Amino acid sequence: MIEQSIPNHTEVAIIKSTTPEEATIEGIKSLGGISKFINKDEQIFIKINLRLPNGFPTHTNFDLIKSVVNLCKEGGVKKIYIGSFPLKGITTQSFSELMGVQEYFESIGAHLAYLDDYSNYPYQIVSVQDKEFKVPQVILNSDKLILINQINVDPLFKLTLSPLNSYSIVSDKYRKIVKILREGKDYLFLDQYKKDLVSNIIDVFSIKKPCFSINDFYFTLEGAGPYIYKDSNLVKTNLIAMGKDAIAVDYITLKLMNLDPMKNELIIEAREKKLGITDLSKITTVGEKLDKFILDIKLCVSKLENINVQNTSIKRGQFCSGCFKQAYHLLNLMKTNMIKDLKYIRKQSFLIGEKPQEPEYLENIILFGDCAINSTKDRSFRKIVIKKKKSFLDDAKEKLKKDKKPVLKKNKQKKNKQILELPGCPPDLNECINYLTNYYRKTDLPNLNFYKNIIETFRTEEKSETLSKEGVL
Amino acid sequence: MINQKFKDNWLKILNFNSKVNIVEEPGSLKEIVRIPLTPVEINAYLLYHLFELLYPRYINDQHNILDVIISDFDIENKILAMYLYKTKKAGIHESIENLPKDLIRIKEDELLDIAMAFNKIQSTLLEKKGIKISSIRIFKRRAIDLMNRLSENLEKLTFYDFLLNFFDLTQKIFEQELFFIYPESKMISFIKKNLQILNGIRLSTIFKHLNDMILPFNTSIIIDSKEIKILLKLQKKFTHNKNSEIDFKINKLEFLENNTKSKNLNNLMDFVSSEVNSENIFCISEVDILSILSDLFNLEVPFKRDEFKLILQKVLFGFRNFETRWDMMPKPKIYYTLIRFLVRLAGININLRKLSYWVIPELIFNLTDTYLGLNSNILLLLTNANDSKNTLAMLFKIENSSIVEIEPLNIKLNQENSLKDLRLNYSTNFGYISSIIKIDSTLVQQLLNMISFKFHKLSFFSLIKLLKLFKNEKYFQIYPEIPPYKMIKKKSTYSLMKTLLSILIDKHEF
Repeated sequence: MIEQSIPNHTEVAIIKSTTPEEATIEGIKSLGGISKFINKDEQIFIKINLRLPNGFPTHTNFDLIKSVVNLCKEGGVKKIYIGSFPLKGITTQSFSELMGVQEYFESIGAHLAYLDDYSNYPYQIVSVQDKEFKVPQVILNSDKLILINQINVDPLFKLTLSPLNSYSIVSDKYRKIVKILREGKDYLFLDQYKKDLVSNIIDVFSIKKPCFSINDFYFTLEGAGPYIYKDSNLVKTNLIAMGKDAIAVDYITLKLMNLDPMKNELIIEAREKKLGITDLSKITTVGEKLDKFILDIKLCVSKLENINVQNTSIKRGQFCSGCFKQAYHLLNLMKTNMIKDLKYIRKQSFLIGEKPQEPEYLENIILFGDCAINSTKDRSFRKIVIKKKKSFLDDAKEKLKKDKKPVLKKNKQKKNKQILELPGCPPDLNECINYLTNYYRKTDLPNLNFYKNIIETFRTEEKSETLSKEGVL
Repeated sequence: MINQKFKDNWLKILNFNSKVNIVEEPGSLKEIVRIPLTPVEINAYLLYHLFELLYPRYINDQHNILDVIISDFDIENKILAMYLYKTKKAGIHESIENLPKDLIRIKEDELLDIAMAFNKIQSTLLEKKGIKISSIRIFKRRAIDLMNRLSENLEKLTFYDFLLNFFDLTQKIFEQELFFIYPESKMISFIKKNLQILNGIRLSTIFKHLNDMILPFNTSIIIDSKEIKILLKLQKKFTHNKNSEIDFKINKLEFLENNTKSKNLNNLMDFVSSEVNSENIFCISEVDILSILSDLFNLEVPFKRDEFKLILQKVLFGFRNFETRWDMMPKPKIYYTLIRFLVRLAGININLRKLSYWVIPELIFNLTDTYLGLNSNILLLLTNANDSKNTLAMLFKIENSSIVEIEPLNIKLNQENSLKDLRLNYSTNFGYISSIIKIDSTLVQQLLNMISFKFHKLSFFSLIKLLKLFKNEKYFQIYPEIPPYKMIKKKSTYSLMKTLLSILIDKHEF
């Protein structure tokens, strides 16, 4: 764990250059050279973003990684490992095969660390506060940790800052937030999920202090992120920030993006736990001046309705950040990969949170998350009224016997079967896709079925117990 | 200074143009001229019509044009000659006036700023000649030399060789900045910017490769319009030396028969097929061609994702409207109801009239954006299974899903260098190469012919054959195998076709 004492002062380089590689080299030079951060014969672990086997900027810029590796080699390091846990369900092996990263890293003189390969990269239990995390020994035993963060927009924390990158040094099992109801505290109202998540992220961040952190926003994803969606747009800022103190680098990054760092939960938590400098007077910027740039990037939507999914009406109740994040990804995924399907489906209502508003349509009601499912058990949309059709014969009889009072027939009520429940707190995205494909007719979902076929190629077929146990699958 | 043959032909065109407004029925005039700078002979009135149609739309829609020839080697930017075209109709050059060189005093440096030079020349001409020009075309002496050289050899060149020379000339003129036009039209700026992206890759080389991949054909294209129907005759054949030769003819359709105006599209094609000996006949509306071209030239270069998507949608929408917006003879087999019914019995729905024009561009861009990345370097290898030395290698540099640069590479493929090694080697010099795509000319040939001159032969089986080639590593390879390609390879051809067609074709028949 990081010792909870922070230096009085730190330097952060803000570099503008013609390429990200040149900016990195220039930045490190302006901070005193790589030897200021690493020593000869050390083992270095470079933590990068390897989220999904998709193109840039879902992962870190590989040319920038090459520059850092070359500088480390110039500094005389013994061994360089590069790695990260990909998202749940994807192994480093399948990631490497699809992206061809292993041979690339080897060609530049580094090794891809298969963090989910327990036999070759064993774990060590690390206790932080009252929590236990299994962390690959290759990270703990490395002399230095370097973070290279691809800065994209993020639905919960505005930007993918260094604690979010560092969070994937542990497997998904240790990243999962379990709902714990605390007495006297309203889970939803207080957004306990986010509090627990922030605390967990910062706890993982505190396991190993990075010796150097690079925030690469030379190209940054705006609009929808951190993965590539239909609304995503890549912005070229020509800027990179870097320094010894990852939190200070994040602080400066937020400032450059015209965001208040002291409103960012990760920065606040890191400040409380004394994991980095969050006082601007103690941060000296080198290279470009901080007030020279105000990068106005389009952040992720804060309201799910603003995603504007075709033929989908979104009604919400009170929900936590966990459901928001998953729903954000599911709706963006629908918008990107269900273009034709949404036209075929015609109407669907997406209900999220506790006690959501009434659905706009009675068909295709998607109840997202346990809160929406449980709080709508006795809602009227759960049942549909079937009006009895009058037969012509009955009609004629009634007319003939005008003096007799007409017999009132009761309308029948039937369970509305056009409801799709997506359980979970928050629901799992892969399971949601499975539920959707099972609920709608195959002919209505040509796009989603195509997408499902594609993602199946990188979901590992191997049913490894160890991988499941460690939370990789 | 200007080649005599070119000059004679140009003066003949001007002379004809000047007569058009005087003669009662100019369309009946039988004069033949050459399209400037080409060996193609054309009815003078048809050329008049093309100028009238295209020049205002794509170059300049105002009157009076000034051509200025300036030096380039000895004394920079010295005016050598000036020709004034007074026009009554935009784009119709009908008279030429050789202006004295000293009529306009303009400093050499001033010609470096074309906007400033234009304003000065315009005000001088207005003052001294009482004429206001709307456009200025500046040719450097070297441009004239190159044009003269091409004009001299026109008679000796085959049409295929002429095309190669013409592409080279155009590329040189724009790349070496030998020609300027002010105000610069969107079409000129489109060409210039695209040539910049090509980064030295010769247009003639690309054309040569494309030509090698297209099988011999004999096609007629009717460009249908209310005013003049145009007939283009295109033929590719092999000569005795096994070199390919292209034959190109352009004519007014009225030339064949006077009463074609009354004919409908189908009868028109029947009539043309009886008159010309063609393997197939396409009929396309002039309005649609002009509209697509206008959209294309209005595109921002490098192409922005959303704008390009719209153009693709428009093209696909046009394509799906078979027998309404375009037609062809013989009718492609794939459109026959009985054939479609039989294929449908096998569970395959191929109804090109229901092509999902609104989804296809989205799908393509989503897949490339997601799996190749918004920024990427993609190495494209166009190979020839029969000739390993004949490989065309280009590195596509993509930024925010737009191609910003294409770099030509000299790669000689042999069995020893795998795509994996190539990727690593070239990543050292050109930055991280995200993917290498190797396509054999057999596959491109199959695809190109299927969607162009052999479209009438398109069938369920030819699509199956194409997909099989696509799945075969000998003809198509992508490294590293990105998830969509891995999925394509994993699926059986039949299942893949069903999956793809469910996306490419609309479900509802009505």
